[in-house]
Amino acid sequence: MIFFIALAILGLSILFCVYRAAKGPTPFDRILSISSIGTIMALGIAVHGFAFNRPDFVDIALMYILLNFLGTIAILKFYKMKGKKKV
Amino acid sequence: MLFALWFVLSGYLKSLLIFFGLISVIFVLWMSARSKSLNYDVLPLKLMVKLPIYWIWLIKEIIKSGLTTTKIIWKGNYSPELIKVKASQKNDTGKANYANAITLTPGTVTIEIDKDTFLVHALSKELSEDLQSGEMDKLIAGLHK
Amino acid sequence: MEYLINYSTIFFLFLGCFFILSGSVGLIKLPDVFSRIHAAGLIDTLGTGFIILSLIIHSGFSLLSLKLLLIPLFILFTSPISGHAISLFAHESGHKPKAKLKRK
Repeated sequence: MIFFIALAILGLSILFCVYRAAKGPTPFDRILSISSIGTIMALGIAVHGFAFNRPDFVDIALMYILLNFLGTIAILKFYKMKGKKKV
Repeated sequence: MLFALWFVLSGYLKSLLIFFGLISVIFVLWMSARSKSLNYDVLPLKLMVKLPIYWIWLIKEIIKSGLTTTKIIWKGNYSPELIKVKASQKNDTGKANYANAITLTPGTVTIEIDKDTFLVHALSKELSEDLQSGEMDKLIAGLHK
Repeated sequence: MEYLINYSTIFFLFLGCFFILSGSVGLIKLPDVFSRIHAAGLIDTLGTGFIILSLIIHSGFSLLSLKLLLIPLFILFTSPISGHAISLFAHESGHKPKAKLKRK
């Protein structure tokens, strides 16, 4: 039961992050909030696995975190390349 | 050095099937030996001994400054500061470790790195004064003697 | 003993949820990029740490808890790198932080 309440709180904070990602004035705001969404999402996957008594979900959460880091760095590199071409 | 790396990797893969673990460890070793990317910076052995004490201290520091940051967020009185911090570590690994530790404690972020000065963005006066007292600098310099 | 495990699980779980919630509120409230990175760091370190701690207490000591321990370990390595990369690129592309540079 407690895990479901925790999942609800995590969903609420993901909503806040989505608001910042949609509104953010600079691209870096969007990248930052999307990376935060990834972290919260991985935690949500782990908690979800415990809530439904299937702890195998922890592996998926691990993969999610690593891919999240790679994605953030890749988007930043891409953005930097694009900015250099423009100038 | 190769054997130590093998030990770390196989310790990590103990939870999976051991046989596939061995095959993948040998494959990774072969790949990294081909690209000649193994030297002191990859796995500093001397550091492994002192690392747990440093981690416990770092966790304590993270909790302390995280509470300060939470207070600032909920109260809304924030006054950011940019400061310059000198790093007294000798080698590159030590400097990278120091910059990572600064960024990891919530409330202070390393923005730019010159040769041995960091440009640090701190969220409040209290946090920047905590950093300028130089306790973290001394500890990490002792770690990388 | 059972009581202790249950209550400490609940306590740490909600502590972690509180830190994550305050981090995302800070992501909305704070005014410029460089200070929002602090809020994201708060989510990454304290929220993750406490939630994983509560899950470890709940599951007891086994192979699963070792696997759970790997999650904050990876975050400990990757979070400062991405935070530093974001702040470095934001600084290079000309966003000035609202703070003043202070000499010692």
